Amino acid sequence: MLLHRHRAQHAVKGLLKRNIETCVFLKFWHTTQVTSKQVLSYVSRAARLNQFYVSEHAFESHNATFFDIKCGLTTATRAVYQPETDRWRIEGGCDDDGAALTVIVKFERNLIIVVTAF
Amino acid sequence: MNYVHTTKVGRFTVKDGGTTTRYKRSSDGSRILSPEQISSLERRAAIAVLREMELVSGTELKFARKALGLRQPELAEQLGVTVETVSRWENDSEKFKRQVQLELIALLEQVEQGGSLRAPRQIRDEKDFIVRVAR
Repeated sequence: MLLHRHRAQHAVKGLLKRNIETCVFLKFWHTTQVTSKQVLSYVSRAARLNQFYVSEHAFESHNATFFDIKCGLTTATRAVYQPETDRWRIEGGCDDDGAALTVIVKFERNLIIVVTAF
Repeated sequence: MNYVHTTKVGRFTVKDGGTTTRYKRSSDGSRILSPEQISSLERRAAIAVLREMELVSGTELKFARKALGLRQPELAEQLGVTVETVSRWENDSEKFKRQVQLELIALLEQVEQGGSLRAPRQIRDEKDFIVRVAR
């Protein structure tokens, strides 16, 4: 019983810690040096938890569905910063059919926004 | 003015203007949609196409599966067929019956109404489906 309680508390603490980490990351990512590995890790975790927004233009440019974008973000292997647009190119992932899918994301007001997918 | 969202479902384009949901906007003024909003719009578009068209192609079937958030094996389990069958349907190498379409509509509506996904009762024909929806 105590062991279960301890495990549950530990799990909650872990979840809170991860959420705080994500919030801190989203709040300060532009002011601190973040590595592409960190960005990839946060984006794929946010995708798994459905914690991202998609711009309406993302659906106009490519015939990708939400499910495809989610698959693309969770399976991505690289994150490349694009300084000219202040966006991140999430590469190496594939959609549900196994086709390569590159997703462009931006961080704004504590949100991860998918700008386009192709 | 209501926002009209356009969704491409295979060969068809569905314009959904019936939603009253509020959308967030990004700094450049464009609308941004939450996962729940997108999923709902995709499900509604899939329902509209599957309902309106007598028989759809594999591309539309694939869209409906993705709108449900299912992979091929999961949909196969829901419909009580093999993964290979679903794959053949989606690749248009095997025709599927209208019954499959009706079962997909039932699944999509089930999820759209907030229900959890579970194997639907076997729908024998269109009449049975109408009775089920009318209840």
